Order: sequence, then C-alpha cells, then structure tokens
Amino acid sequence: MRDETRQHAEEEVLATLVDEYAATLYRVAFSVLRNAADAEDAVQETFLRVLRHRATLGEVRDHRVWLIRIVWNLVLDRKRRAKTRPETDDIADLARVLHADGLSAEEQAAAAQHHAQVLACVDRLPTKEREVLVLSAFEEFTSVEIAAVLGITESSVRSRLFRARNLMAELLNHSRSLR
Amino acid sequence: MSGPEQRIRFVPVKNAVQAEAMLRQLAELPAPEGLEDRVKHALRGHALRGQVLKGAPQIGGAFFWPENGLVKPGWRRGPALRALAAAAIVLIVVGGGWSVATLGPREEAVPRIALPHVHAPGGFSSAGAMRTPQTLNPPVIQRGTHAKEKRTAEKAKEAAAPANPKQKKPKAHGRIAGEKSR
Repeated sequence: MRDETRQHAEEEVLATLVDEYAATLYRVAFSVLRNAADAEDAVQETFLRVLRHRATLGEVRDHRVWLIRIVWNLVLDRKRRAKTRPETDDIADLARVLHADGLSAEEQAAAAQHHAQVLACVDRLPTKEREVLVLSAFEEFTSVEIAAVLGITESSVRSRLFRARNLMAELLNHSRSLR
Repeated sequence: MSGPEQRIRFVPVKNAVQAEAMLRQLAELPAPEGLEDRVKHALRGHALRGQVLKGAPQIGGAFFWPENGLVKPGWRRGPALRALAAAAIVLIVVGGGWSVATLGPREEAVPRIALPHVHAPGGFSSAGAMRTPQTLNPPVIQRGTHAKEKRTAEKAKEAAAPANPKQKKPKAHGRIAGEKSR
C-alpha cells in the first residue's frame, strides 16, 4: 500500500515535470539538432531517463537545470553521431519555420540558405565557445544556470561568450568576403 | 513545426550581433502542440512494459522493477533466501554436470584396425619400404665415468677388501686372551 502511494506520488511529480519543462527542453534540443522530430525524440528520451532514475528525484535540488543538463548531453551525443545526415534536411526544416509573409518562394529559399550559412558559421566555432553561444541565446537562462549545465564557472561562461562573439564576427566577415 | 506561430522572421545577418539575434529567434521557437501529451503517453507505455516484463533492473536498463505485484519488494535482500537461491543454483549446475558425466558413453579401449594401404593408381610405389619415424637418439650416460661415482666405487671396494691381509684372523672358537686351556 505504501509502495503504491509512493509510486503514485512519483508519477505525479514526473507528470508535473513534463508539463513544466517539456517545452523548454524541446527548444534546447531544437537549437542543437535543428530538426523537429529529432528534438521531440530527445525530449522523450530525457523523460525516460528521469523515469529510470525517479528514485533519485528527491535528491535533485534544481529540476530545471538537471533536466536541461540531461537533454543537453543527449542532444550533443546525438549530434555527434548523426554526422552522416545531409545538411539539406536542416535547411529544409529551417525553411519551414521561416516567416513566409511578403516573401516569394525564391526569397524564402534564399533566406533559408542565408540562415543555414549563419548556422554553419556557428558550427565552425570551437566546441566550448559554440556551446556557450547557443545556450546564451535562451534569454531565460542565467549565466549561473548556463554554468551549471556546462559544469563550468560563471566567469568561464562570460569569457567563452566574449571569445565566441569575436570568432563569430570573424567567420561572418570571412564568409561574406568569399561571396 | 508547421504552425504560423512557430515561424521566425527573416532578418538579413550582417554581423555577429545579428547572428546572435537569429539564434535567439531559433531558441524562442515554441514547442509543437501536444508535446507534453505525447511524452506522457510514451512514459506510460514504457512503464506498462516495465510492469509486464518483470525482472528488468530499475537503473541502467530500459524498464524498471515493479514494486507492487507478485514479487514483494525487498525479498532479494533477505540473506537466508539469497543463500538458498545460491545453493539451488550451485546444486543445479553441479547436478547437471554430474548427470551429463555419468550418462555419457564411457571411453573403452577400442582395438585399432589397421587399414590396408592402398596405392593410388599411377603414383609412385614405396617398393615395400617401411617408414620409420625419425627420432633422435637419446644421450647415453656412461655409468661410472663420473669421478664421484668412481671414488664411491673404489671406496666400496676398499671396504669390501680386508684392511690388513697379513693380520691373522681370529680363531673361530677363540678363547679369551690370557685364558689357559684346560
């Protein structure tokens, strides 16, 4: 009877976590994977991991950071393994999310290409700088939270972000001069 | 990702700040509708499968141990039951091995049948020559050549020989020295 009560309580906690953080986790996953289906898969996998470790839920201090850290590691791992997927898939997915009002089909395609080039510049950044840049794009994440997700200090987050911005400017200038 | 609210506005990127703004736009894309329900459904499915497949580990595996059902929680921790289970496993393994060993055919001395040698047609014949295996001749140790053995042999000879051949042998029915004959 006590076990049933405990299990019921755990299920309720899990359902609350899903309601509260699934959308955030999806956005984090999408920012790395840039594919809707893959991002949703990553969110499901994250909560499955939580289900498996539900006994430790009580020990977790900050559920939000904990969950973001799980999905972050998961999507980085997936991204590493999915190198074989053609980049055209990402571009097509980006074209779907672009605002279509006032843009012709050709302009939409050009815009998608342009976004893809920017994202390619982001991908060319060193791993540490790229990770900080992508996470800092989420305005709701504080630098303390980003530091907790990446397992680094807050000052490291700031210095890496500074370097990332400089490198990004260089890469964008370089790509523009090539065109 | 097809809803109108899930789209970002195209902004031509000229510098790093604008690139960051674009990243921010991507990060702000709302999640698809019904995501929470789908995740819950998947979790429920996995949880049910976990209850059907009893015996899977809770951590590290795909499913978890059911804690309410036929198997009571904590039974695995009972030392007596664990010892009993271990003893049963040992008995099964040993008994199985023993039964296999006893039921199997015993090796008996089967006389070897020498098959007649059949010459292949058109080949060379051995002309009746018997093949003898090439074996090395073992080293022959000459006994007594060793100096120590020689010395021991000599000593043995000396010991066997009388110490002083000139010395008279005591009489067989010798009397005690100085005893007068009656």
